[in-house]
Order: sequence, then structure tokens, then C-alpha cells
Amino acid sequence: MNPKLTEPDQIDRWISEQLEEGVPDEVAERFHRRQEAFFQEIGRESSRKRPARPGFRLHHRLRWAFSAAAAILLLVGVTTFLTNRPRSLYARVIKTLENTRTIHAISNVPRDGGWITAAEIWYERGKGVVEQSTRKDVTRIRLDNGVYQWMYSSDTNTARKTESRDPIGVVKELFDPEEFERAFLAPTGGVKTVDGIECRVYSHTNPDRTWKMEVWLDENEMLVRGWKKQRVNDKGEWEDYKSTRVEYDVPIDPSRFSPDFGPGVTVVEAGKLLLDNVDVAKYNLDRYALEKAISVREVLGLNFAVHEVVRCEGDIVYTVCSIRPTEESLTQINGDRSSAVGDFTFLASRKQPEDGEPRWYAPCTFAYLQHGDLYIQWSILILKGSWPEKIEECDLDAYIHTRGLLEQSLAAEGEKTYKRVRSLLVLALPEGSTPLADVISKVHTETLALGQTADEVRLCRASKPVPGKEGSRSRLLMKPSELSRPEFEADCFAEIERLKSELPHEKEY
Amino acid sequence: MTGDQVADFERLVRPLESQMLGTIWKILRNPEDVADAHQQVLLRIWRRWDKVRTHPNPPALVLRICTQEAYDLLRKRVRNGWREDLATHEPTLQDPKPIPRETVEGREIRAEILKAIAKLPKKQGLAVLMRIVQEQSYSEIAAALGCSEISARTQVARGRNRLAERLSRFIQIPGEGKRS
Repeated sequence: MNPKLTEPDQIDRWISEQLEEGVPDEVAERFHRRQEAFFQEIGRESSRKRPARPGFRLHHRLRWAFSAAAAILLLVGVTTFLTNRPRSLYARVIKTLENTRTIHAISNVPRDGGWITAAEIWYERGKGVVEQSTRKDVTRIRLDNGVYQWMYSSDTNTARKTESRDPIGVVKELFDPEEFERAFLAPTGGVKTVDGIECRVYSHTNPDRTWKMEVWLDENEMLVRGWKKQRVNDKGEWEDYKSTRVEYDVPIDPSRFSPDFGPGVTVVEAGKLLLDNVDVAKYNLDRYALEKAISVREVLGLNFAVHEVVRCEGDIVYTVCSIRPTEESLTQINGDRSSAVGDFTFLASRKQPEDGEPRWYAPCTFAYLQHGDLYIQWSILILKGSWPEKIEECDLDAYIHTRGLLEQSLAAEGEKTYKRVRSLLVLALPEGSTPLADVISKVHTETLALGQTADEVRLCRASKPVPGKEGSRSRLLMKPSELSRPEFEADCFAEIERLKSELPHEKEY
Repeated sequence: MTGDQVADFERLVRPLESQMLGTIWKILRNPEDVADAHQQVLLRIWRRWDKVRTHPNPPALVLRICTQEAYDLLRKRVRNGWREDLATHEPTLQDPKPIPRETVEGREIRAEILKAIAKLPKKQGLAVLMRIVQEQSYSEIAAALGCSEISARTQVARGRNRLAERLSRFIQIPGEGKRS
């Protein structure tokens, strides 16, 4: 349903990031005590002459051990609360960051036998944070002054302005709990001097033993002064991969926190700033109720509905259509309305009339929405080939796909789960024409407003060639709040121009 | 079990404590469930000590047992009716501050992810956890599941696709992710 969700690395990274959360101290402590109690118990068992009956006896005894440990832990928990015991080493290091006036971190990576700067962060309490990185000749700057955040990228020469995120949070992200919490559990016993400061060395190696890190902690100030990461290369040897040094309470040039990214930079507003001029309450999904649709057709247990048809310049057809399960299908999937069970893709609707001149549409999706079991798509159909001067109606051809529970249910019954439908519906076009720019602007405003309450709303950016896959193109999907109206309009028109310029027969839609 | 065997057991398990905890916690997110799974893990290693100690990579086997026990418990919890509060660690007396909105959203997402993983076929769920959460190689996953590496890759890919579909409404925009 969502093309970008097929990128395995993105999905893996996203899931992994979502599940990354440090273990609470008291859980770790209970875990440790439980384990120690277990060791003691098996130690006692082994010291007895008569071997323990495997399983039952041990399990029975362990229950007592665990119960005793639980009682002790409860006592420890209450005591901990009353005495406000210091947290883990990691928690204390992070707490110290919050009390620091300025922070400057610089990350270097090995390149051509030396080291080059890959990223740098400047933070000053009350002023904000600046993060600058360079990769593949593209410089990216994130500036957050506590009120707004700007994300600048040199490849587009654009700075995206949104509401502020937590500036100190940007600094904290440097200290990934997954890595640092583990490292802090393993002091090496070594000492390293960093900028004249004696630091204790901690280390962590991942379970696969494919990378490891060494952290240098100034235990007097409870500040991390730096760390180094190494990974295993193709020869199976450890090689340097990244080295980061951190300075604290050093002077920082105030101009660093000024949103001046150089001449010719376009600043576009995004995020919640875009909502300033939108009356969100005016927009809701009621207008997409089935009973208000212009036309409805049932396919594969789904109701396909047309809600809006507009003629734009050049006889481009703009339409808003939806798909949702029929009542019968809902019964089939036990009334589960939590996710969409169908979607659709418009096809070229190619015609070969008697006059021999082929004609067809190039469909182009602007946006889609999914909320519960409802899926809505905003699209246009661009006329290609040899059409009569003015068309009065338009045939919709589409692939209808079932998804999720409905797809599983149909598959289990040996039924088809998708279908290509020619002349799914015939749209009667209105006489008058509406400027395409107005339509695109309306799509942006409406999706922006609906995006505040719907499960998922995405705008489609202009397509780009897929590197290494000749003839393939992909379109990035973005939340309406992440894409300004001018950017969306530019992308839509760029995509329309590309589709218009494609030679006949060049592409099957 | 002799005293030496007990000492060997401790020598293997003690250094793995934080990794065992991390593995179980990521999957269960609830102190009581972590305690239950931990008990099962220790008993299972203890009862099969001969197999564990003669395994080519005992630490990997221990962590795999952690994943399997935690995943079994997660599936059981979801089968018996998931409670949102079981998906996360609730603030304790030590942390009486209100939960920030961002944290609440994060918890909802985590709960949905765990639920979706629990609902995968067992082999797929284990394969996904080992690959995505534990960053295990396909050969390790294949060994754990008793299948070929190609089959392991297929299990992970299928599981990932199902997760992507079930979690599509939560997926963030590419390019705005966390720095590595």
C-alpha cells in the first residue's frame, strides 16, 4: 500500500529505534538480584551429596528463593525512593549534560590515511544547538534556537523551518543509551588522558563482535570527554570507524545560532507552522461518507467510490476516490475496522478507437489518506494521445487490491485477492474548468488539516529515477506538515510535465 | 551438577547479564514479565547445561534462549488479551513526574510493534526479532531456527513485510531519522 515501506533497511532501522529504550534501574537491579539468588541456589544444590531431582525440586526451591528476593527488592525499592538513590552511571552522565553551559562535540572519520570531520555540534544553554554534518559533498545543518528549528541542506539550498524540538535533546541523542549504557557496565580498568584530563576507559562490543566502542569518562565531573568506534573490516581485523571528542563550557561564537545559511537560501515553513493559516475544524472525513459519493461500485468485497470530479485546463481530470470494505466483508473480518483492507491504482485506460488513433490517460497520484478501514486517494488523469477536442466523460480503469485481513480471508478461500477492472466507473465531467493550481492548493490544505486526525496522510513528491534500476522511478511520500504548499505545487507540476513529455508507448501505466 | 559445573555456569551467564536483560526487556517491556521470562531462561539453561556448554557458541545460545522465552511469553500475553500497560514500564515511585506526550506516543508505537511481532507466525517472529532487534546474522538465525540461510532470509523478509503493512500508519518520513 505504501511503496516506501518496502525499503528493508528503513523498516529495520525504524523498528529498532522504536524499541530502543534503556532498561529502568530498578528492573536491572531486580534482574541482577534474581540472577545472584539463582547462582546461590544452584551452588547450595550442588554442595549437597544427594543430587537434586532435576526440574521439580529446583523449581520448587527457587520459588522460595524468588519470593525471598522479591520481598528484599520491595524493601530496596521503598528505601531507594525514600533516600533518592543516585541513578545509573548513564543517567548521571546525561543529567550532568543538562547542567552544562556549552558543549562542543566533533566527530571525525578516517579518510585517505588521515581523519576528516564528519559532524560537529555546538550547544549553548538558552541559545540553542547547531548540528552540522557533511556527507557525499552535501552539507546539512540543523539549527534549533528553542523556538524554531531550521533544517538546511546544501543540495537543495533550502532551509526547512519548523517548530523547535528540544535543543538539549539533540545533544543527548549523541549518547545512544543502547551503546553507552552497555559500555558503562564494562570498565576496562584503563585510564586515558583527554585534553589533559584523566578519564576512565569503558568499552562495549556488540554481540556479533562486528563493532566495538571505547568511552572515556571524566569521573570527577561525570562528563564523557570522547569515544572511539571500531568495526571489523573485510580481513576480519579491527579498524577505526569514528572518533568523537567533546568539550564543555568553551566559548561559542554567538553567530552560530543565527539562522543565516548564506545567500540565495530558500526558507520554507513546515510542521505546525503550516497550520497557522488553516481552519482545521472546517475539514473532516464526513464528506467522504459512502452515501455522499457521486458514484459507487462493489469489487472484491470493497466499495469503490468517487467523491469529486473536476475538469482542469487541458482537460486534465482531477478526482478524489475512496475504497472501504462492504458490510459483508466487515462481517467476514469480524468487524475489524482498525486498518484499510483495500486500495487501488489507476491505470492508463488505453483506448484504440475505430479511427485508429490511440488515446489514453497518464494517471498521477497527488496524495492518499488512510483512516481505520477507509482509504482515499487524490489523483489526476492526464490526457495523452489523439483525443477529440473536448471530452465529456472519462473511463476509470484500475487495479483493485485487497489488503490485510480481507486479503488473507480471500486467499484462504482460494479467491483472487486483486483484480484489474476496466471501466470501473465512467465519470461525467463538468462543463466548466478549474485551474489546476487551485486544485493542488486545495489538496495541500485539506490533507494538512485531515493529517491532524487521520491515521496516515501522505503527499507524493515528484518522482526520481531509482539509481541502478534503469527505467524505474520512485516517489517519496511525505506528511503534509513536512511539505510546504509551494514545494508540493512545484512537485506536482514537475510530475505532470514529465508525464506529458513522455513519448507515446514509452510507458505502461 | 558438580561444583565445577556450577562455577562454569556462573562464568558463562554472569558476564551476559546486561545483554540477557536487554534482550528480554526489549521484547516484553514489563517488569513482571521480565521476571517470569528470566526465571524460565535460567532454568532452561540449567537443565540443558550439557548442551549449552558443548555448544560452539554458548553466549549466542544463551541470548537465543532469552529471545525464545521472551517471545513465547509475549505471544501468550497477546493471545490472552493485550493490556497496553503491559507493553511498557510504568513510571515508578522514583519517577513521579507526568509522562511527556512524546513518551506516551512512543509507548503506543512500541506496544503496536510488539503486538504486531507477536501476531506473526512463530518462526517469522523469532527471525524478525533476531535480525532487527538483536542484529544477528542470517547464518545465526538459520542455526537458531534449524533451517537454511536462504530460508532464514525469507522468514525475515516475510515478517518484515507483514510488520511494515501492519505498522504503516506509524512509519516516519525517511531522511529525518535518528543520527547513527
